[in-house]
Amino acid sequence: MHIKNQIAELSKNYNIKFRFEDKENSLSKDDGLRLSELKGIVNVIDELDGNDYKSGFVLSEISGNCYQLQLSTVNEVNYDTLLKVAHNSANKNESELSDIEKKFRKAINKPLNKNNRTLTVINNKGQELFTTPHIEINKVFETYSTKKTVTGLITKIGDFDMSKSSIQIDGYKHQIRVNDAQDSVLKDHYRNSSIRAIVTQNVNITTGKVTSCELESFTIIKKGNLIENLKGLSKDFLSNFKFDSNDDILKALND
Amino acid sequence: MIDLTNVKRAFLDSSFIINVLAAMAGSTDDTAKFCLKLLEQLNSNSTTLGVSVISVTEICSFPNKPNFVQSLIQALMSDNVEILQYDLQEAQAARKYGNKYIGTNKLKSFISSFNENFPDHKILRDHISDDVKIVSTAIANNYDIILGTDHRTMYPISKEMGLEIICCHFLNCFNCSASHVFSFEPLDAEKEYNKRMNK
Repeated sequence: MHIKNQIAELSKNYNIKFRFEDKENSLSKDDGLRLSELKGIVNVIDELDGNDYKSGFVLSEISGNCYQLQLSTVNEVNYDTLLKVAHNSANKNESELSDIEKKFRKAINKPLNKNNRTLTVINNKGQELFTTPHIEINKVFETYSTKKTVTGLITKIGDFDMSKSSIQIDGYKHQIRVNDAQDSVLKDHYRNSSIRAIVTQNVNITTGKVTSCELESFTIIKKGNLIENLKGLSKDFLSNFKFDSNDDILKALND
Repeated sequence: MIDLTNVKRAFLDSSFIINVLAAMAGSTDDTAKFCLKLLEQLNSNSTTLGVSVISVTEICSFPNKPNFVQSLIQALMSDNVEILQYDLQEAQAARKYGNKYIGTNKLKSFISSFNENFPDHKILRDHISDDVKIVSTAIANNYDIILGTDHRTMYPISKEMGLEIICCHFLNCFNCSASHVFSFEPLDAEKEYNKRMNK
């Protein structure tokens, strides 16, 4: 009996239905939801349940003229979480949403964008929990950008992600994203020459911390120290600086 | 006393760089020769040298000859030099540390102490504003000292903003031998400043 209960418990599915409708109830198999309109929702749910093969959500049914998706899970926690995320995404203010709820709001908005569509969420007992139309998303600015000049040797080049390129400059702790053209030039200067880089930093408004950096432009610094380079200037050039005294220099600076 | 034998980072004011260039152009002036000597020492110690773009503008504005600016910028962009922009964090430093000079009334009271030396107040005001920006750039980029020869505005501004200034025009405030500059004495410099400014 005890084992039977356990098996029954394990096989119990928790179902959530997402029903999309428009005013005319015109959604049908000929004019249903596009995959592009649904993939965002599926992605967020996949992220939410940790993509666990045993307890993650499965798409268990599509019914009601192709507009009602039923998602099922054996995990009650996942079920409760999805209901909560769906509810908050549809009903709370943008500032009160968690990251996953923001993503879910964005995802459900995609199919809701057209023809005054609405979404009704139905729980395991078949109760309609809420219905929402398209939700206005107020753009919240979380970062501002600022420019910074960074000078130093390139100490690291490359990225964990093959599709992206970034560098690191000695003395600057943040990774700097570079484009393909910059990457191909900078490769030759890795641990070899100093560069002077103009970097756009995105800074989190709340924390003041740099969240990402991008290389705007750069100059390869001439080899040699300052004295060597100044001594390399021509006599004609240096003749511009023939001053007799510090007072003459200060006067020239102030004129 | 400020030890100058092992400086990791030093910011260079325009006046210091021009003195170095003057020495290289053959000037026999003691201040110019001293600036060159000190820069050679910093160079051999692999000191990182910071220069503000405002100083670059000031130095570049001297002659109006073709390729002058390009040659100078090329020379300044050396292995051991950081040329630094005036940006948001520098502006924040200016507001935080340069409060005494920001705002018309504050500036007026400071300017009034320069009547004899600076008859043109507008130029002086611009000059002070640039000095505040240069010092802010040094502070915002973690420099502890600035090297300069401008004892009239840069010296008091830098002191007021909390950045130690090595005024290379006050030669009697250095402890040095024929080949080495060992240290700088800020207290002597303060006396020298007061003497020169009749305070």
